[in-house]
Amino acid sequence: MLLLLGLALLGAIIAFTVLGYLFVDLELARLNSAPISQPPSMEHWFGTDAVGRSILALLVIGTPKTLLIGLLAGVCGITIGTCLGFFAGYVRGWADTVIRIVSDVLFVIPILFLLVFIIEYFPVGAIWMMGIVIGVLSWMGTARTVRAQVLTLRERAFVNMARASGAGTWRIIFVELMPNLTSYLAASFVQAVSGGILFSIGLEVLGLGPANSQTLGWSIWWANDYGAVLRGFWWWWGSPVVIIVMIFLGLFMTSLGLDRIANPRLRGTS
Amino acid sequence: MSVTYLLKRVGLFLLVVWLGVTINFFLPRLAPGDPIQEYLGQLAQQGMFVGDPSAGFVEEYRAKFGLDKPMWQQYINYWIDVSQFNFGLSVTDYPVEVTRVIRAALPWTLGLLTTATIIGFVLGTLFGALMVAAPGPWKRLLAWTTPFVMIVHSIPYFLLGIVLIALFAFTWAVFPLGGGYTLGESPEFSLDGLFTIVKHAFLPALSLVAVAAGGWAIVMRSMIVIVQGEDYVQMSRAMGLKPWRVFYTYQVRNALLPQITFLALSLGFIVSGSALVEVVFVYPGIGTILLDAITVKDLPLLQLILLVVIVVVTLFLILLDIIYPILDPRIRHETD
Repeated sequence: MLLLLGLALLGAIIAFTVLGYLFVDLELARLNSAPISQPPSMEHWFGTDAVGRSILALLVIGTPKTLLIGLLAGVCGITIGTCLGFFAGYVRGWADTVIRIVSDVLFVIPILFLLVFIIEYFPVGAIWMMGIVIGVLSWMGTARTVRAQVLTLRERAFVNMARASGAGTWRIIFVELMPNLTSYLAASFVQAVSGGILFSIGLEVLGLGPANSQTLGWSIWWANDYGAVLRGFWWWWGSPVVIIVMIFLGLFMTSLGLDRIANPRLRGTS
Repeated sequence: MSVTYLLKRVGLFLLVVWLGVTINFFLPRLAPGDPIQEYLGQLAQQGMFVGDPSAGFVEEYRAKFGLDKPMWQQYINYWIDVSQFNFGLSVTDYPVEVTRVIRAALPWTLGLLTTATIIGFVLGTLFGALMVAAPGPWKRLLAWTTPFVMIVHSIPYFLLGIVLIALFAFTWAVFPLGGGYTLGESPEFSLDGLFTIVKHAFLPALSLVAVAAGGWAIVMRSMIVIVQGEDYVQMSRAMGLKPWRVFYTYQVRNALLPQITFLALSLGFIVSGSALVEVVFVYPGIGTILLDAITVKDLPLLQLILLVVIVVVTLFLILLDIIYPILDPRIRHETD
């Protein structure tokens, strides 16, 4: 139920961008292409900003970009986290120690500092790079939990059975262990995507990252920079905030739904 | 808990602190850009006359901050200075000691974030527990609020901050637009002064509390549901204990354990401030200073903030390690 609602919300957002790309005049996202600071009207549904851009066109362009950053961050984070988690949990010994120390170090350093730093000084020119940078720095949680899962799973009877019948390490990892983790990994993938989007928007609101990328975070930065709140241009900051909240709500409900599949005990009362 | 275990843990933590501080030392230095030039550029931007950069005084300042020496020597000097609690002068606030810069900002951040974290934890945990176990009609009421909690939890806290400013500082000007105290005045220790501080901290705290409480509530709710199925809860019910007693002593206390872990971690991270909320509300805390220090590459200031953050967070990790087996006797370190 939650899962369906979440997916429906995400679907609606994707439909919004697809329809937008088909029917909205995206030229209106350029400077001075529309009258300035107009509240929502029939002509410009979500109003226009102080530099003469249609908010609707900005949202249509920005939404998929923000989603892309999140997806890339999620894919990177989950892939690295799963690999290292499996490695630490299955091989144990020195690998476990090294991975643990590295993840502890990254955990202790405020991640926003690292991100701000990398993005500020090593010019991140494109949004896909931003996604990857965020992903590379956010695998620690996944690695830790995958490790814990693998540690309990590897002692189970069915794994010993496979080992006794001569299955190799890779076969055990992919055929015996992986399937037990899929629903769990799906849930943490969704969480990682949402975390990636949160980080990217946070950085953009601070004015960091590829400045001309027109993502949702940047539209809020522009609104803030032009004092939209204090000038009463509620549509300017309000519209991106609504879309962002819808994205997070959709992702959140999806991950809660997947969590319940992964952990049947949670279904108890609802 | 054995002594060897503790020693091993402490050793590991020292290693983590050392590695973290080392990364923080080299990362800014390997990046392009020079702090002195960066600072002069900033002054020039503000319309200040900075003179001819080739006049050799850039070199003089670089020498003053020890930036002219080879990297390895700077690194060794840094540790010597740290061991003598000599953290140097701020580049941007020259010649103010970085310890003073931080001491000015820390109370704001600690006050705001400690209060917000604890209120958020208590409210959220209580709410999450009641979502499962409140008596009849109340439970229905709470069930209706669940979607609302989820929506609030889905708003990034800094965006909630913008919404709150628009509503309660702009449209209805109940609260100030930002800052930690009345502009141009310094805080005084009186009832009035306290009131002003609370008034300024209210909206930032609210944006942090609302989002965090939602998170605590959701986790607490699922923990209670999980605990509900445990044998000891069934047993205590079968023994005919009063429902509130089963709820409090057997369910809440067990469900609280993992929450405590996260509470300790979030308390540890308080020292790093919350840059985004502080920027949105123009709050004079550590987060703002950290962000400024990064953007203008104020190396001494940056190093001290990160040193404090790393040490405090690792300390909380150690503390957690020591306290957890006392809270939950099922965890023994010998078997680790």
